[in-house]
Amino acid sequence: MFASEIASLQRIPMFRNVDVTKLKLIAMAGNRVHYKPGETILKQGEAALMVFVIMEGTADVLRESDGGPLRLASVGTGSLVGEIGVVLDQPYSGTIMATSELTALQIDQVTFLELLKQVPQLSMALIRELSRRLLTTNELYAKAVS
Amino acid sequence: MEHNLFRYIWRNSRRDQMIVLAMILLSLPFYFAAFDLPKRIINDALQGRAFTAGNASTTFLSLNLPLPEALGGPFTLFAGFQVNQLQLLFGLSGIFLLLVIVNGAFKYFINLSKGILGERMLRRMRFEVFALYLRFKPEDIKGVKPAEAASIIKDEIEPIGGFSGDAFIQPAFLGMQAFTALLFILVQSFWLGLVALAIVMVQGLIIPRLRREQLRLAQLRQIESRRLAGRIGEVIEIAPAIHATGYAPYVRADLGGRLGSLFRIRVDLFRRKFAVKYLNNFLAQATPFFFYSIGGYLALTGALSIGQLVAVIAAYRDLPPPIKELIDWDQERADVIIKYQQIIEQFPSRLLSPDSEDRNRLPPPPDAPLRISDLQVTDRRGTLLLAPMTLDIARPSHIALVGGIGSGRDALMRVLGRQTAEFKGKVMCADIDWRQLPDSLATRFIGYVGPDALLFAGNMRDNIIVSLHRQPPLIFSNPETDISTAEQTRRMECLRSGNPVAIASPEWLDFERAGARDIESLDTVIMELLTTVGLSEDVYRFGLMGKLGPDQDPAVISSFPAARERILGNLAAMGLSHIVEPLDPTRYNRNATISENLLFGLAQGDRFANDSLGSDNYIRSILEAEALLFPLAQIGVRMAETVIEIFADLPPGHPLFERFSFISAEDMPEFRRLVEKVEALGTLSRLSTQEQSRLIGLGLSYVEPRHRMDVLTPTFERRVLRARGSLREYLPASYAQDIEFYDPSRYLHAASIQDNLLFGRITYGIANAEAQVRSVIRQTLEDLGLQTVVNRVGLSSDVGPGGKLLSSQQRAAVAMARCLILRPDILVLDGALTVFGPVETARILASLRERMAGGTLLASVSQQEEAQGFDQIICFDGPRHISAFDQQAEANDSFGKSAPLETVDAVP
Repeated sequence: MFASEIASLQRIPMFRNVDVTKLKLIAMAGNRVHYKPGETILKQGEAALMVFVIMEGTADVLRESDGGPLRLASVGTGSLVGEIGVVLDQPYSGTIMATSELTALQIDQVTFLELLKQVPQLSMALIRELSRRLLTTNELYAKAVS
Repeated sequence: MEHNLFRYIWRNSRRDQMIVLAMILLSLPFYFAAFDLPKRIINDALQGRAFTAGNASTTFLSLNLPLPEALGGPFTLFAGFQVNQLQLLFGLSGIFLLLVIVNGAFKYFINLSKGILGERMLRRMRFEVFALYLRFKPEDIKGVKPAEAASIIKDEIEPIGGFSGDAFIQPAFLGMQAFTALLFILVQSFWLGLVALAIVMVQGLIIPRLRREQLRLAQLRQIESRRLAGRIGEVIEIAPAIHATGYAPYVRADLGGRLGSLFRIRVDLFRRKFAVKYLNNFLAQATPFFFYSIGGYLALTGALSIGQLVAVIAAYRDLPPPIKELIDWDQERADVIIKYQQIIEQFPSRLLSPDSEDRNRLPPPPDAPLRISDLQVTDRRGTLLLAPMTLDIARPSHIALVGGIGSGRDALMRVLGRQTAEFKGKVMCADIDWRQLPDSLATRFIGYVGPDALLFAGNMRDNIIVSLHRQPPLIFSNPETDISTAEQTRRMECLRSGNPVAIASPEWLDFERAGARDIESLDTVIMELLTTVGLSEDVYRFGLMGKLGPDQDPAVISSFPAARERILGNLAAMGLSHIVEPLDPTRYNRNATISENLLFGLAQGDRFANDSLGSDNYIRSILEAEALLFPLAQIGVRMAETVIEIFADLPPGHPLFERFSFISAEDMPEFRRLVEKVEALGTLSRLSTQEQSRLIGLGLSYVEPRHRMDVLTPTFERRVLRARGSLREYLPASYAQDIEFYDPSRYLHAASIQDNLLFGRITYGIANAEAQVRSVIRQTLEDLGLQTVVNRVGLSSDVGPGGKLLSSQQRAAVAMARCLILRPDILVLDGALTVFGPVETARILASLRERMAGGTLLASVSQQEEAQGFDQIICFDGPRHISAFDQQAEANDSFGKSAPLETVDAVP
């Protein structure tokens, strides 16, 4: 059961240390969804009700600006998106748009928060991922001000 | 309630008691005559004493008025008949039979009246006790254990109510019987009368003494039983916590101890009870010994005639039962007096709120300020919850109270929301003192929503409009109204037992209060309120998932096929046809369960429920013919294995288990056993039919894109389709009522509204599929004017016991809507939004502020940032009020400085 999801999740660094049973729980709690290129996965300013684990495909991270959408980064297989809004219970801070055929595991807010409590490896992986992003941001900031 | 039980009973049932007592007095001569007649039958008719002077006939049924000589001497009313010995025998026997009938009729009337009287009193007492509970002050009602209250109203009052019927009548009736029998014996034989009297004295004096201990034990048992009921209720309420903490063995031991204590009390009670019974029986049986021996001696010596002896023995047969019952009555009296006292003690007046129902008193003007002076709140342990504060709150205005959980903020909110009466100082609004404010007036201008959303079992609408049931219908206003006899009796009984005459009905609804005209427009008002509190989308969703009732307007039902056509057309026009997989009789629908594909219809009862399909002989034969039995059982095994593996570490009540498990918590042990058995046997074929059917039932719930086990092959699907055809073709006539087959040409009553609108399943795995379909459905329903139908079904959806079928956010939203529907001048939101996240809190607060424009809104928040836009902010640090800021004044302040309205109160 959920064999393909588990195989995909195991390829993602964030889930590499999570037990297979827990991966099954994550797969069971999630809904596998497909996006076509150009389809919006989540939209800036909307209530953060879902997180998405990109299992296959690529997407752009966009931020609305006065001059139109600004592309901040690109994400691909193995990325977790929407988690900041979900954890902080704040609206999504950016828009994620598929740039290729994309398959994601969609997990709703309540389930995701419950999974974090239930699967400590997932919580640790999330902390590591957020710390890594903070480090990157700090480095970028340092570079910008120097 | 009256403290003296007998006074209470007499005051509330005087008329009925006197009627029955009068009947008892009236029955007395007939009762006495029934004793005397056997003697006459034996002496006059059988032994021929009436014919001793050689008379061939005697006078029968002569009626004489024994007037004194001064008034002309005895006066014959009726000269009677001349009868011979045989005629006298039959005549007297006939009268005896008549007396039996008359005495029986008296007994029937007295017992019936007594029973009705008792039941009437029981109804009155239950109602009064229930009404007293409703008058408990908020902080005191929290201390009442629901199970104990239920036990008092349901069980403990019962014997008191029953006793009410006996309180005066029973001693009068039984006393009269005993006295008549005793008097009769004394008249017949003084010595035998003395013997009977002595035995009665022993029974009447000794037995009640022996029964005192019995009473004490009975009371002890009552207290222990009530505690047991309270404990059971408490344990059930906290059952999830008990599971989570492993506290269950201790709880079991505790309960075992309590049951043991009840057992021991009962055993002691039995010992005492049966010892008393033994003595009672002995005394009752010993008396005939004296009668036979002494009475026989007197008869043989000629001091007593045989007829008299027979009559005395017959009279004595009637003596012990009333005496025994009198003793029982006395015991019951002592017992119920104690019970009554115990119940009365539950309701000291200090616990009760004022009960004035002054409908003429007006709420304060909406601009009257709230004046809080020297307000201080402490809990019952003396901990300071709100330090003394004095503050004027201008109205109308929106005020945010900022502080931590448990700070003075919460205490102030509880006082303003009238959730506590235990405070010092004063809260005034115009001339109204908060402390003296009765519920009837308060609820006309104050709305309070607390952190606990309390819902009752029923539907969503009922939970919201509960607060609108404010106007008892004026049922006596129109004397012309034709009232049935049954209705007249009902009303009379209500009045006699002190219950309200008006029954709970929709007529109580105060539509005007909600700004509605009728029940239809009320639904519109409710939906507007639910939009304010963020629940309208959920209700709409519940509506789509709900079913139309059988009483639905046929015109509405007939509009659904057109709506479906339009929805599917709109989806196609938007290029979204692929997000709904239609239910096609010739195709397997991968987004539906296997059982839906097999039946191609909806089960109407248990026969076609998943759990039953595998054990039904007809369905089994169909599945067997297509070789589907074992594949389905195998799917069931795999599903069970997965659930067992995934949820091995989670307790059964865990939210993830509740949400995602395909197997319910109560079925888990059974499926665990089945999986282990299959593993041990290595085959499914050696399972019993019942066991196989359990696994088949689980397998039938399989949906490929949801469960993702890759088990559906084209061959399997073809077999299911063939089985579908056979199932319908060969369906026995007796099965026809149990299934409603899918038919696109008509409305399927067993299916949800959404299923009727789509006649297909939303495809799993397509991004936003559900939202897009819902959006198209919504637009189409709005165009066709069917939106209100769906909303109405949504509002009729069941919330479960205590609202358990709703999420905490939904419950909180219902509680807010329930309050808002009364359009209060002052709305107190005391932690009502804590279950929402910051985004939703901000959104709801903004809508509430919009709705409360022109009114007063008091909302508790944790951070000052959440109070943006409020007219006034009142801050607390622990129990102390630290500042009050007028944001409007601050904004208008040209220097841009904060302008505290009040200086910080001096805190002792």
